[in-house]
Amino acid sequence: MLVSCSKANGIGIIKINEALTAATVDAFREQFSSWQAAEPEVKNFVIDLADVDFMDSAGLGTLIAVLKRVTEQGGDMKVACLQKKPRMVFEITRAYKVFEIFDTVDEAVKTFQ
Amino acid sequence: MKAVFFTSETKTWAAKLGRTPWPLLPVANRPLIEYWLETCAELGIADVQIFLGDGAEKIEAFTGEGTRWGLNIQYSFPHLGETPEKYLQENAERWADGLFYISDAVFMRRLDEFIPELLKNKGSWCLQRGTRTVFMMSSSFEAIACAIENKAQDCGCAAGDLEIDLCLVDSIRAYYDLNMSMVAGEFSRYVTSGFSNKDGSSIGYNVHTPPSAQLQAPIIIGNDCRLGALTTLGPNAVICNHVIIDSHSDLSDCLILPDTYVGRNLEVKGKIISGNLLIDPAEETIMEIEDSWIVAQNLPETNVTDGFRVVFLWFVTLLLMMVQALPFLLIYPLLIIFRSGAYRQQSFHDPKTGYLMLPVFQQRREKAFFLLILFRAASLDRFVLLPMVLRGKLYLCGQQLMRHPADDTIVQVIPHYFPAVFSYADFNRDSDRLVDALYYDHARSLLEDLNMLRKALVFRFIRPYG
Repeated sequence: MLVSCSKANGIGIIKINEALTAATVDAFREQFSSWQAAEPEVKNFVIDLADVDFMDSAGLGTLIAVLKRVTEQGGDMKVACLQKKPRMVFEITRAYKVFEIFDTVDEAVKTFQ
Repeated sequence: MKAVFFTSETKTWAAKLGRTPWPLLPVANRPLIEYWLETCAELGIADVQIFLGDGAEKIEAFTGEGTRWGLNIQYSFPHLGETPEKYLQENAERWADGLFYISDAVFMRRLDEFIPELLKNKGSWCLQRGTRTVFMMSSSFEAIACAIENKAQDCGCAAGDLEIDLCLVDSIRAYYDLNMSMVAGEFSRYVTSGFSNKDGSSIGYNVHTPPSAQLQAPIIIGNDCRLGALTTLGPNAVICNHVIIDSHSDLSDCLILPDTYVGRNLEVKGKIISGNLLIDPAEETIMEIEDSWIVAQNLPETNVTDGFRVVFLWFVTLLLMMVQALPFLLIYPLLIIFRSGAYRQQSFHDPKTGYLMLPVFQQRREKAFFLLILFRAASLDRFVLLPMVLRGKLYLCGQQLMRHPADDTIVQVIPHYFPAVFSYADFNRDSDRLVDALYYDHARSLLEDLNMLRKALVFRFIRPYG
């Protein structure tokens, strides 16, 4: 399973378990959408990237598309536990300006409260 | 005075930066070795000897015979176990007139007060890394002998008044910092064309700069670069030769190595980019990005010459097989009947799969007998390997087959391994497996292969037992 989804204080915690690349983005989008459909009351999300050691432009584009959809539905999405290498991709692609990034999932969850 | 540069040792920090051999890594967009050669020219040194290792082909392609600097460059490969110190000791009489020696990534950083005349002072200057002398410039025979023994500290040549800081580049961080200090102002001490004294910037030839691109000094841009619309370069950006920066990207405090594509709308600050490698010099984190929309190598790695050589020799192999087939089918069964010899499977290194089993002809009779001599003289013992050339498992001519695991150390040292049916060992009695392998990697060409094949067949025919 690429994505493990759970709920903490009404916040959806989306943990991605492997590299987010062109090869895996479709599975991510699909699994995220089906969980979102099953939990319609969850508006805010934290994406846990602790196990993501690589991300390409397709992965980044998908995260931005998901963020856009979530904000359109009146919610928000934050990113947590970014590893060194994906952090470098976030830096050079300016994605750090688009996402709020936190060191831990707990810190990200707290900002919603 | 003579100059000897040892570039044969691999530098782990440099290997992480991509395929460029460390002597060719650019400092302010000029290969490190170019600074050494310019110093030779300034010192009036004519004879330069360069010991090659990894990337020998690229280094020789860049330096050539040295005519660009008015030098006479000779190339060598070190023998197995030969250290720079050992070589210098064994040839001590050659350095009677002085020696300029470098065996590590040493950059002669010119200080504010540096003037070229200072180089001509009859002093002795050394730099040690740990217990080894890695830099020496001296005309004193005693000081040279002392430094060769790695006692630079006791030779009175550890420090000098050259107004040069001998900077040893031993990490990605040190390499990045050196480039940043060069772009920040030191580059004016090593002026080349395209340099502007006004703001300390240097822009090479054939740089496409759209009106909307912003260049913020200080900046160094190499030759043959293309900048996209609305790009912002600098301050403190070193863009090497043949780099493409796509539109809307901002680059500052960064080093972009040659032949690199930097994608659209990126923000590169405090990073090194080399092809598809994104490197954070502060933490020495290296990330290989397999996404050509972000960063990529813009020079294909395919070697057309190698491809042509292999295709041509495939047909030569086919011809050789057709010529040898009938004699082999007639003689080999007789050798089996007379119990003169047979093939045994032995394990050899294979560049693709690690190792492979190959048939090796083993003679059983101690005394040579007519059919056996004929079998070897016509190189029929190699016949069974020829189909493997047709299948792409072996080369017709190339390096000696390396046994697995006995020749592990040699395979680890050579940059490319071309296991072949015929090699220099077939006609050279004093063949050294490592030196031959390195030489072939460096000198391989269709002509070299055809010469090797001709000599091997003739020599084996004349002297079937070597």
